[in-house]
Amino acid sequence: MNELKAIAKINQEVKSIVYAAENISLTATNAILVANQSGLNAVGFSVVARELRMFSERMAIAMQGLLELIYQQLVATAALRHQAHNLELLNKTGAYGGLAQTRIATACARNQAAVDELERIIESQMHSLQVSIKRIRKQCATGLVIARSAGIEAAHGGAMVGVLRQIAQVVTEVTDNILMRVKTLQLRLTETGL
Amino acid sequence: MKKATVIYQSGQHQWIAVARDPERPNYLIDTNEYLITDGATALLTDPGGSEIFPTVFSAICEAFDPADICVLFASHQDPDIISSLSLWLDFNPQLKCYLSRLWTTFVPHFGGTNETFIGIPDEGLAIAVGKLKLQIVPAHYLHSSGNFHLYDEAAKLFFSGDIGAAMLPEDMSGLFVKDFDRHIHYAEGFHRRWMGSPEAKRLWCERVSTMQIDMLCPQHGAIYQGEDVGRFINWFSELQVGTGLV
Ligand SMILES: [Fe+2]
Ligand SMILES: [Fe+2]
Repeated sequence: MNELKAIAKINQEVKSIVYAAENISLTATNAILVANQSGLNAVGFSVVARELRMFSERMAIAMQGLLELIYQQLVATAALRHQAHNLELLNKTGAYGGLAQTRIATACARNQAAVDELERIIESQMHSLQVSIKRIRKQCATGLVIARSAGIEAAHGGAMVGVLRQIAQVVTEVTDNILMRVKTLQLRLTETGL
Repeated sequence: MKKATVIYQSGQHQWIAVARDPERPNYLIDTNEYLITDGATALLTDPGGSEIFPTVFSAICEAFDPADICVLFASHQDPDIISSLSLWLDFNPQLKCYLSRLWTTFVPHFGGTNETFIGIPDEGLAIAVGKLKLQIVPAHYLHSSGNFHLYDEAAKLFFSGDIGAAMLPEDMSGLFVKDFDRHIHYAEGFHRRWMGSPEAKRLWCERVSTMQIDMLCPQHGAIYQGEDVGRFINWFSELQVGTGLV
């Protein structure tokens, strides 16, 4: 797969994570409301639900950062493709030998330097992407712990125990799903060499 | 590979045609580039598409130092005219490009910045290239809505962009038109379809009829010289164009 196609695919995956994280935010808000209705019995659950909402907000910020990084990667990759094509044509000019080779040499060298610089930028952006994904994976693991705590706290929900359990279940599933997607994303980044 | 041929010379004043590439892949339209020089500096007309840059550049090298080309002239915005711009700028970032004011925000998609372009007003412009005086002549709607040709009064040579273009078969690969009647047959379809405005065509024919032109140099196909220049203008003035029908 070419780099631009790979980036587009990764972008789609990140968007699906953004969507899932938004779902958690909604579910957590709903959980807070339900917990408030359950009164004193659900104080613990309410605390955990607030944590969950904070988690989803952190995720949204992290994903935004990831999308920004991926966009930068797209810009640099497109520029590299253009520059590399120009370099190919300049080198082809030089391959005619004689005067053409001498006269185009500076442009070839300048273009090669630009290509090298873009490759360096892409490599450093790739590093940032990997660091960012690692951090997001850790955040997800924490989110999962919070979601599981919600399951435990739901048991003290008095009359609302059924609803709270159901909410905790949904949150756990969604967080699990996000973690899985982030793992896939990490794998894809490694696979495509991005 | 393309070849550079001097088609006009008077002292240092030269027109060099970079034309007719027999090795060009057939999915690319063949183009002619013309270098107009006073010896020390030069203007390059319609420098061509990016894919043919290597052959254009190396052909020019055989006749002229491309570092002395100070300005490009783009008759209009088509890719076969000016998509090599970013490569020319890679070679010489200081290059300027004359272009219809209509296209100065479109063509930067091929390359160049605000610094690169000199927008030509609709009425045309008199420009100097070294000691040479050249006239940028309006040719709007023939075929582009912002379209110009270039007249060198001293040399009596006229660069006519897409006007005069002919899609010639391999056995008609000469630099100059030899048999007008046979040649024009290969120009007809192109002119009927590409030239959209009968009124613009009439104005153009009237305008160029008043000029002294020894050679009419199109961007595609062979060069018209001597009597064939008048023949072409007459033929074109009578050709039915711009019917809106395919
Ligand atoms: Fe054109
Ligand atoms: Fe053309």
